[in-house]
This record gives sequence, structure tokens and C-alpha cells, in this order.
Amino acid sequence: MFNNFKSRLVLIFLLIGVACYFLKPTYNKYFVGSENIVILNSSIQSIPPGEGILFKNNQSVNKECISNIKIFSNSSLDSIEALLLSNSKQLSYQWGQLNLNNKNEITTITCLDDVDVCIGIDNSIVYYNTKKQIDDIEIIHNGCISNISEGVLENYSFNADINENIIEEGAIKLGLDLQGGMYIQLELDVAQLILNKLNRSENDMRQLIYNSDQNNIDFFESFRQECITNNIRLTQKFPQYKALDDNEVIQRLKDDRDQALNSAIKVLRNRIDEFGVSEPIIQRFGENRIVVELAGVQDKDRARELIKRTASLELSLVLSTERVNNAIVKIDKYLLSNNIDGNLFANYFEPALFELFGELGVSIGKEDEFERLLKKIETSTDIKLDGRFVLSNESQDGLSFPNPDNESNSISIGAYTPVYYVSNTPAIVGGMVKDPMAKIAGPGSDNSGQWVINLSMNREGARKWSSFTGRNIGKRVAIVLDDKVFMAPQINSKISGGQTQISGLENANEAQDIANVLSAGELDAPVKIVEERSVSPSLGKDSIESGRNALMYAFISILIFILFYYRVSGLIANISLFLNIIFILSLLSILGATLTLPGIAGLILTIGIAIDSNVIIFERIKEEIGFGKNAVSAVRSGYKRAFITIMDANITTLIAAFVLANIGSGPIKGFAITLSIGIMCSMFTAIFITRTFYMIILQNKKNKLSI
Amino acid sequence: MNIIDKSNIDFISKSKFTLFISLGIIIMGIGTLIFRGPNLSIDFVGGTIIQVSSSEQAEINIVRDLLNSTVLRNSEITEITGLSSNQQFRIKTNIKIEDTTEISNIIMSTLKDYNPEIRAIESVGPKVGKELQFQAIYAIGLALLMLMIYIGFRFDQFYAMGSVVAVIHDILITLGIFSLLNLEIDLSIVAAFLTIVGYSLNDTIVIFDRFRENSQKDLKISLTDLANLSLNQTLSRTIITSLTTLMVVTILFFVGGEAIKYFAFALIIGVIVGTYSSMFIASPFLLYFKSKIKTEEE
Repeated sequence: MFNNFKSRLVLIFLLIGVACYFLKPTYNKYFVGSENIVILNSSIQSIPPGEGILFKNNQSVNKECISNIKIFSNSSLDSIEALLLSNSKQLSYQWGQLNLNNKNEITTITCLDDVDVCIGIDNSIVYYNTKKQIDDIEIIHNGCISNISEGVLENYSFNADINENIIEEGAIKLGLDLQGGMYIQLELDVAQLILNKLNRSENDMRQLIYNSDQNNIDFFESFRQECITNNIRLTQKFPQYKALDDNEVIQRLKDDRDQALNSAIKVLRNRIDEFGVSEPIIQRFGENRIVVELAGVQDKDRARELIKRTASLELSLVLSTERVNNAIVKIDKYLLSNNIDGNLFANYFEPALFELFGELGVSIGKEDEFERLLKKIETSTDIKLDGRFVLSNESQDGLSFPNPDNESNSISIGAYTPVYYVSNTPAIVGGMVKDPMAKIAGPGSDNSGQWVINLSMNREGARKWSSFTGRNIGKRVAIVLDDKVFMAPQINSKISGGQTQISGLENANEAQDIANVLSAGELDAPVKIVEERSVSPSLGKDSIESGRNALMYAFISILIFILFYYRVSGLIANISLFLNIIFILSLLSILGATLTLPGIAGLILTIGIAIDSNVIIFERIKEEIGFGKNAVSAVRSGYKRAFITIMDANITTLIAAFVLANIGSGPIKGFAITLSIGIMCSMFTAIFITRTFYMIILQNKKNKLSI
Repeated sequence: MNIIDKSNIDFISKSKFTLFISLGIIIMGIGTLIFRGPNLSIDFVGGTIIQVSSSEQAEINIVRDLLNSTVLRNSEITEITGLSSNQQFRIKTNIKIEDTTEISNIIMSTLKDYNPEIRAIESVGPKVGKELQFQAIYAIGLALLMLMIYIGFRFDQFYAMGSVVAVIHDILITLGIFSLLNLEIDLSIVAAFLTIVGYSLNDTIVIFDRFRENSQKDLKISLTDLANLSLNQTLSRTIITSLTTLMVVTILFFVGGEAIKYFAFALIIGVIVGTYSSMFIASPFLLYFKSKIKTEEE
């Protein structure tokens, strides 16, 4: 049906039309530039002169984010100033002044004399101050304002109309390496999960599970084998499953693993939503992993710490010095009798600290070694302890004081991290607390002015807490979060009503993040990060620019070379090459593919390879002309002969690209996908489209061919 | 316009000489690979790479000294070039993946006088590294197998063997050159290997196709002459395509940015070696396999 050029032209134009239709969003997004607008419009009343907070955004608003602020008012405004202040240290600007409180936080802003309206942005809070009545405020931004959480024109009934229609749906997405972001692969600690299912006294199983985890093969496979070699009946170890045989127990454990992974995904989603990242990707990966992709995240350290927390909270009794002594003696006896290399356990602790204050502390730098030893002790079957040693989350500065025995010299203790010996049976666990809330402690309390987290408890928790505190007045309770002691206050009186507070938090971010993870819920087992790749937005921008430059130079140099070498036929090939790129990009849009830097490299490579099909055809036509054929039949047999060659040659590259697409992660997959699409498109453009042009040319002048 | 008008080069007779050169490069490269051990990136052995830029001028030696006084004392610090006018450093360390936050804090505070910015972090745990190693080898093996099957199906087993010899030759040479220059092999280099496999075969098949076409014509010439004829007939195409592809990958190397520089470099080697092998390795081996069968039949 495509024997005449007219029907071919119809098809080509149709395809170009479809391609352009699908490319429009991409074109708008990256070339026109998208405009996202937040309109704070007053349908009811205007804002009278005064100052306040426009809104709090749940992610940081930076300098590049807001391109324009328009203010509408019935009264004439002489001057409007909006300035972005990311640095709260800088106090004064030409247009206005930031007023800070004693903690260096912005409270309000003041406009200078000739300025009518001023707007200041600090971190995620947008402040305003006006001298005249205003009606609407329009903020044009690049997508950074995603969710206005609170404080929209405080005290005035304004509507925040977040207009996101302009964000183009269906545009080609940029990969994390181009727009900046984090890729994190987490692994669920399956060994810990299974340990949690066991009766606490099963010490021999601990060692076995620990061993299974050390092998590099699949955990469950290794576990099964370990059980067989050690002649362990799983049905007895896990009676709760009421399983018929060991295989069924393993299947049940696998089901539990799946459930733990699914609930971890939910918990992570809650945490990340609270953190404020637009369109996060959180999905299961392989047997026991989760992949988290966060685009455009600014504070990577904070995001990482937020994600990897288990959020296991325990309130446990700190055991007496006497019991600490017993435990240390027991451990050292074990270490000596088993010839375990290295320090004795007792030697890890600062002696003066223990003798004088009865406190445990490991000197700075020794913590890792200490924790490794603890792990060894925990998995050993020979020591039975009544508690466990837990490090503090924060280290203490060294101290120096006069020696009570000998006043002429003083005792000094270097910086150390406190260690607590806490009970194995916690009084309160995470599931019993609710409504965690981060706030600055009010005046009058011990932690006045510091960040704390207030917790309340459910009925069961409140009852237990009340009887526990009643029983243990004068003793200390450790608040253990993710195996770190945050604080260990003394119990002064019986606490009924189930209130408690966590202090010892470093800053506002930590307080908010911990409150966030506590309310999002605990993970069934810890997760650890096994792979991380993150790119800052600025590097992403550089990569886009290099990619674009490379693409442009490659394209132009090929165009020139081919035009110079093949003349009119070269022009035909060039047009088809150009269409090829359009088709590739529109296919990427249709498939919802993500463009990565290697993807751009794939596109560039495609340009080189795509032209090959035309080279094969043109060289063949030249040969045919050399045999004395006329233009029409030379073209006909040239295409016919070249077709099989092109198919065979391209299919090999396609096979390689397909294999690559199935093994690679993120960026590499992007390369493989653009390369495959590129090759497929090039077969169409280089054969079908160029042939059509020849048909048109050869209609008019029958025997001349510029090639 | 023609690059070459009518060539009449005896490629096959030169193949002994070229085979000698190829073997030389391969032996040198693989020798250093065995002697020194492969220079595998963190993708395959685990570790952390942090890319830092500083807006204040910083001497690399001072940066090294500063970081030497921290836990990063055993890291490998190099300066890299990029688009932005800021200075950029690449810090490669084998510190555990759990400590990424701590390391970035240490870098930020140690280099605070130079106004640092952490531009990229890549951190791979040892377990994932092993998995990626396996995946990379598996992918190359799978691709070779599938390609052999395809060529065996479309042509016959002799063509398949000839082209696979050429492709393995290309991988070994590229690997050897990377090893000689002591360049790191990461995931993107494996991707480059697979691309080279595809490209080299593409080249080889165009020639094989012509060989097959000519051998069906009953020209009454020897297999060697037939191969030479096919090679000469496709020579101008081979040269032009190699030139255009080489042109784009060279541009990619110079303009494409730090992240894909070595990927592009592998492709440059691959395009050159792939073109060379399709003429001087694949066809002679095709003849070798074909003639061996013939003599056995006789």
C-alpha cells in the first residue's frame, strides 16, 4: 500500500503529528519553562496592613525556587520588595530588616521607609509585612512549593490555591542523576526478624541465625542448611506456627518477611510524606530489599538518617552498680576462658568515672570496637546476663576535678560516650506510646528552651508506666531509641496518666524527625542501607548541560559531515536523522521513560549508529550505479539489498541493549532503553523515510542522483 | 564523492601480522590484569566515593593533609574537572556504608574554610558489590550466548564462531587497555563493553552479509578471494560509519562530563577495535573455521 509516495507522505506526517503531540509537554517543561503558581486570593477580605507569616512549606524554599511574586492591591503601591533570605545570620537588607529572637530565629520582618510590601523567605517559612491593604498574592515558583502546611496568611481567611496544572503531565522525566536526588537500597535484617520470633531463651539458635546471615547466599537457604547440619527441628523452635514440617516453618518465616517488608514500605512512606518530598518512589526490590528514590531532596544526611531508623523505643530500668559489676566479672571470665583476643571488657570503661560516680563511659574512638565486642557477647550462648549494655547517643566532654584523696593533683577524664546497663525487659515499648510531638520545652522545666518530644501512652502503657515508676522511685530509667540511650533520668515520683518526655535532642530537625518516625510506627526489624547513590541538584544541572552540549555538537558535526559527503542524499539522511530524534524523544514520553545522563549518551550513540543504515544504503546505491544501472533501479536494488544487512546488523545491537536493560540499575537502564528505542526508530527513519524522499526526487528527474 | 574509489586490499594475507599485534596487546593487558589485579570500582568491591566542590581555591595537597587528620586518612583523593568553575575533588574511601552521614559531616567541617558542597555520594555495601560483579559477568555471558544463537540461526555456526572470536577479542583488548592505563572498571564500563559487543557485531555482520551474498553468486574464486572481495566492497561503508561513530563518542568523551568520561573512553577504544576486528579478526577466523570443516570432509 506504500508503493506511491503520497500515501507514504501521509503516514510520515501523521507520525510526525503524533510525535509532536506527545512531545509538547516535554517541550513546554524544558524549553518554555514551567510556571507553578500559588495564588493566595482573598475572596472575602483583604489583608489589612500588618505583618505575619504567609505560609510554611513542608520543604525548603531556596533562592532558585521563586521566580516572581506579584501583589495585587486596590490602593496604589509605591514599592514592593521580595527578597529571599536563606541566611538568617545576615540581619539587614536595603528593603527591610529581619527581626530575630534570642535563638537566632526570624520572628518578623520590618519594611524600610519607602517600601510598601516586603516578603522574606527563610528556609521553609515565608514572611510578609505590608503598610497598605493588599488583596491577592501570586507566587510563581518552579515546583518547590508542594504542600502549604500551615500558617496561610495567619489570622486571615485567605485561600491558598496551589495551581499545579502547569506542571506538564507526560513530559519526559529526568533521572536522579540529572535533577538531583537520592537512590537508597535498604536491606531488611531478616536475621533480627527471626530472632524476634524466637523465645528469648533459645541461645543456641541465636548463634545459628547469626552464622546463616554471614554467608553470602540467600539467607533462608543458608538457614535451612545450618539447621540440617545442626540437627535442629524448626517445628519445635517455632511452636507458634503449628507447622507440620520444617519446610512449612521456613515458608511461614518467609511470609513474615514479606509482611515485614510491606509494612516497612508503608512506614517509610509515612515518614517520607511527613518529610516532604514530592513523588517519592518506595518499592520492594528482590527478596528482602527496598528501594527508595527521592528526587530533589536537599538535606541528604537528614533524609538518610530518617530512613534508616528502626524507631524501636524502649523505656527500661537502668540496673544497679552491683549488677553492673557482676556482669563485667562474668563477661571477663568468659573472655579469658575462651581466649578471645583483645581487651578485657572491664578495660573499656573509664576507671575514674566508675569508681567515683558509678557511671560507665567508653572513651571516644573506642565505641566501634566496644560494640563489636558487645555483639560477640550477645550471640554467645555461654553468658547469661540480666541486662544489656547500651551506648548513649551523645558523647560527653572530658572533665577534670581535684583528687579527693590527694589535693595536690587532679583527676582528669577524657571525652567519653556514656554506657548504660539496662534491664532486658523494657517497661514500655514503642507500641504503647502515641501522639509524639516535638516542641521547645517551656520555661520552668529542666530542659527549658531545648527541643524535647512529648509522648503520651495508650491505656496499657499508662497503667504499666504508673506502676513501674511507682515501684522504682529513686532509680533511673533509660529511654532507648534504636539501641541508643537518649536520656536516663531519675524517677522522682510515680507518674500516672502516661506522660513522658524525651530530651537530649540535638536540634529542631532531629526532634521533628524522631517525632515523625515514632508516629509513623516501628519497623518489624531493622533495615540497613546497602547501596546509596545521591547527586546534588547543582551537579545534576551541570550534567544536563554537558549532556545537552554533547548531543548538540555530535548532531551538528554528523549533519555537516553527511551533507558534505553525500550532498542531496546527505540532506535526505539528515532530515531523517532529525526526525529520528523526534521519534525517539516522543517514544520516551509515551513510555513514561526517565532520561538519565547515560540515556543521553545512548541518544548520542544512536545518532552515530542511525546514520550507518543510510551509509549502508547509499554505498550500495553507489555500487549499483557503478555497475551501470540507472538511478531508479539503482535506488530500488540498493534499498532491497541493504535492507537485510541493516536488519541483521541492528538486531545484534538490540540484543546487547536488551540484556543491558534487564541487568542494569537506574542510569544504565536508561542508556539501554534509549539505545534500543533509538535503533528501532532509526530502522524506520533511515529506510522508510529516506526512500520516500527518493521517490519524490526520482519522479521529476529520472536519471540524476546526487550521492 | 568517495573516500576510496575501488580498493583491492588483500586483508586476509595481512591477518597473520594483525593477529600477532592483537595477541601482543591482549597478553600485555591481561598480563597486567593478572599481575596487578583488576582495578575494580566501588560498584564491585564496595566502598564510598564522595564528590566535593569548593568555591574557594584549595590546593589538593592541603585538602589531602586536612583530611589525613580525620578518619579519611586512607582515602584516595583526586582532583577532577567539571563544567562549573568551582574546584572539585573526588574522595574514595573504604569506610563503611553505615557511616556516610558521619563522613559527610567530617568533610564539611574539615574543609569549611573552602566553602565545600557535597555534590555526589556513591556508596555500595560489600554484599551488593559482589552481586553486581556477578550480574556484570552474567550479562556479558548471556549477551554473547544470545548473539551467537542469533547469528548461528541467521547465518550458520561458522559465522557465529568467527564473530564471537572477534567480539571476545574486542572485550579483551578494551579490558587490557583499561588495565594497562590502570583505569577503574565500574558498572558503566560494563555497559560500554556490551555496547562494544553490539557495535562490533554490527560491523562484522555487514561484512559477513556481503560474504554470504557473494558466495551465493558462484563467482568461482577461492574463499580467501571471496573474503577479500567482500571486505573491499564494504570498505568505504566501514570507514564512514566508524568515522561518524568515532566522532560522536569522541565528542561525548570531551563534552559529556566527568560522569561518563570513561564510559566514552571505553567506547572510543571499542569503536576502533571493533572496526579493526571485523576486518582482520572476524573474516580470517570465518575462513579458518570454514576451511577446517572442508579439509575434514575431504
